[in-house]
Amino acid sequence: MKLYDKIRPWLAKRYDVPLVEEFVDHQAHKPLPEHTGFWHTFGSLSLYLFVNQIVTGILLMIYYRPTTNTAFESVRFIMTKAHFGWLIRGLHAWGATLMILCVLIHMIRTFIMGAYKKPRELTWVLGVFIFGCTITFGFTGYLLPWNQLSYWATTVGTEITGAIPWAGNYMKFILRGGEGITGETLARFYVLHVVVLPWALTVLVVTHLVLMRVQGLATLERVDEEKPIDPKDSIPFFPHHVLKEGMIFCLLIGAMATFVVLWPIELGEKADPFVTPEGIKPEWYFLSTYQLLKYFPKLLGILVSLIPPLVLLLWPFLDRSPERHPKKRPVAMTVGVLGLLLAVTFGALGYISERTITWGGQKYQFDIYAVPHRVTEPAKP
Amino acid sequence: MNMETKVSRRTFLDWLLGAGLLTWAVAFFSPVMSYVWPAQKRGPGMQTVSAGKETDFADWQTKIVAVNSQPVIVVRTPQGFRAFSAICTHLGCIVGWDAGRKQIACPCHAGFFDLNGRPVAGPPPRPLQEHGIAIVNGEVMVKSA
Amino acid sequence: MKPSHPSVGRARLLFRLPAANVVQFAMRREPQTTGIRALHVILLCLGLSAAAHADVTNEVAASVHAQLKCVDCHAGNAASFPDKRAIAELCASCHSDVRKMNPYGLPADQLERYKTSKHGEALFSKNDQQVAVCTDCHGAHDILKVKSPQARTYAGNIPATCGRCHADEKLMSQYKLPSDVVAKYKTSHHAHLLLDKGDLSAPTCVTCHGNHGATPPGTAEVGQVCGKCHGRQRELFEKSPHAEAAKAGLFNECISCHDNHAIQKASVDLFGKACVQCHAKDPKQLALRDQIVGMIETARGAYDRAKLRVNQATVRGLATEDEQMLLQEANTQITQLEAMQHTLTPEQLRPCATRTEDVVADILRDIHNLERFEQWKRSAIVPVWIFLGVMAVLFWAKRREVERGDPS
Repeated sequence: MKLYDKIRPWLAKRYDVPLVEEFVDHQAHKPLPEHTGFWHTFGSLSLYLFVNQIVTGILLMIYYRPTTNTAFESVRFIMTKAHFGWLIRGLHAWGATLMILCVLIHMIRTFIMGAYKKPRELTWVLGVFIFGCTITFGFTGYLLPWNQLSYWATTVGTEITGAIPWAGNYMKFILRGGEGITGETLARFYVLHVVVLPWALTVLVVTHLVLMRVQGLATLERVDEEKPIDPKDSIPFFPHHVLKEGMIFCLLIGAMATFVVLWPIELGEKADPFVTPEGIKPEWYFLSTYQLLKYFPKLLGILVSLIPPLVLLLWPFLDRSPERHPKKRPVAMTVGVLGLLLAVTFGALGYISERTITWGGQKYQFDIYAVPHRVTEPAKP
Repeated sequence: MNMETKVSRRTFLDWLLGAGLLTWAVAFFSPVMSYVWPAQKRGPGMQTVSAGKETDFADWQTKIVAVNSQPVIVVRTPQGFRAFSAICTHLGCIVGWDAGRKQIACPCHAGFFDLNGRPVAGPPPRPLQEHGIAIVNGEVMVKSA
Repeated sequence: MKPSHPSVGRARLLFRLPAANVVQFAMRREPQTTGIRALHVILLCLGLSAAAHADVTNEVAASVHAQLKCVDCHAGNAASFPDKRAIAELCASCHSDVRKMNPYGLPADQLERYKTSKHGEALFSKNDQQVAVCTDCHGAHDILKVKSPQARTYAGNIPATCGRCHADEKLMSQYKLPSDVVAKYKTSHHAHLLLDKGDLSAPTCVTCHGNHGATPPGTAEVGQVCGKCHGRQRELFEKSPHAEAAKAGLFNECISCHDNHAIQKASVDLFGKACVQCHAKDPKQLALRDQIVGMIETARGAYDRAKLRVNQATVRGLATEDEQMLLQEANTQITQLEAMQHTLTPEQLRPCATRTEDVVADILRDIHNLERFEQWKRSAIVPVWIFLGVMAVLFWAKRREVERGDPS
């Protein structure tokens, strides 16, 4: 740090350098509980992915044009003409999916380890809002390429808001900027995606991180019985945990590069309000809610689908047990596993619905409730 | 193991790590720099294409250029340059130029268009869409319709 | 012209009734009961006949003849026109007068043409009162400009107007004429363009048969008639072996393969149906047909394959602008090829067919190159993973070192 040694005296005469140095040193070498391992990296992976989205998003904004006449063409330009545009776009699109996945895994890890309990309830609540923001990012961003998939998935998605009682139609009208999905919708979603949500998420994430740092990582001890960290049984954040995270980071980068190149995001066909493609569905992270709503009439559906997010939000206040170890929390674990299973099941049902598959030589058509029906082919002449 | 060997091993690992991280940083930055470098003279809203230099065109000389991946026929008349979509409005063939008749001609079904793009003979039902032309620095620039 | 209110029409007529016409009317020679004649005279004098015939006067007021008076046509012996020749002559009294028609930019040869038509010949030579005369096609009181969509002579209405007689089986059987021509026409591609797509340049009955001089084109003239619009095909046909046959009267030019009224959009399928009409037992000609069909279908197949590949690549997000241009070039070649087949000479078709295949080959090669780059990207993953693997090992090694170096 020869450079730093040279400028330090200049800074010391103007600012309280020792204070800053002490703070940085403390943060860097902050002792973490011994068991901090692989599963604890998903938080920072989510953070890295958020930064990835911001950087690739800013880059995409250089060439992206948010009007109905030019949006699709600008994405095509990015993919075909801009140097490495395909890479930036691929990283942004896959980054979105991976970020949602990492946030989900991080939430599951936190749930399993009871880290949401006192004194970290607010950190959890912020986390749920972070998750909501991330999903909204996905929803608003999905419309921007203005292809058939974007247009019709957004149509389906915004229709659901219309089902909310009393305020639903107003909400839908404001969200869409009119009656249908138009250039107005594109503009509104763009503003949300590029200005409102990034700032909101930044504030939430910074607060979440500060709280996490101030309170330290939770252990598996009981509530109110947390022992201060013994330096002998701890790992300093830097360099130990950071190096561990570095290894996982390599995996993440490898995974992202692989996905971008092996399963590239396609350009699609330009949005056509007069042609509805078959089997339009929202993105995977909305599939479970989408499918759930089919089984209930409108109002009841909305109420039922509000239960999971509400439970998630209020969970630290609903769970009264002082235990954190998963083996000592059968009720919480059951609820968690059940919730997860339901989400996955409904998601799978949502995936299979309105599809036709051939199995064992027989064609089956799944209706909107994902019930299979045998398809009898008319006798060929 | 003596101190010197320990020190050199540590430094070697550090050196490797440093090199690796530097490579990593370069690998991240290069595509970004490349991406930011303008891909074409004009960005995604490409509005005009050059059909060549003004001096390349004699009177009544024509050329077909691609504007937004659509063929456009450029004609130099004594009164100036005209440009029209080169897709015949009958069945979509690419039109050419009939020097004898001084008209735009479609080779498929002998459709003819005058110098205002209007069909004057044969089956084409609609006129050819005209494209604007601007001469900029001696270059014949064709605007997209 | 805006139709005026009925009472205005009536009032107009009231004021325009000179006494001379009343006397003329009173003295008409037509066999009518004295009673009716007397009634009309009284009504005329009272200026009420217009009111009695309000529906007709309204029609006239809305037609191109709004400035005419009833008596301009109906004066003298004309409450009805039993002899159609009289109608023709009456209309011609203005419409064959060049000076009268000049200000309106209308031709003045309709009657002359009419007399050369089948209708006119039958009427004037044989006094056949069943044939069409001016009023049968143009209407009597409700004559509108041809460009007006309500006119009986509007392009889109012509099939119905002609069909009033030519689709009437009882009437047509008297002349041994078919009565299914309008129905056949309605199945044709021309009718589809005219009636479904509103393309007024599409041919109607009068385009091929003429309007006033309506006559079916003779065998030598069919090519000229079709060639009015399909000039390229006629030009190419003249180079074909069938041109000689047509001159010798063995071949009815375009109609032999394409039919006259029920003309369908031309496709390769026509080859299957048309040639065997004459060449069923002629293997050499059928082989020639197969050769030509083969060239066209090969070209089309190649084009369709190329188009599919380009579309797939475009949807994936590959840069296909050049290939799209090439597709249009290929399409131009194939369209020319399909027109060229009228020469029935494979050597004439070969250049276009070859060019099509060359262009398609270029397209497929370009797409292949684009996909090779995608393939290269996939293989570039390997060195990336190797590098990441090395970095992960380095991180691990450093961590081990740091842990070991740490006394606690």
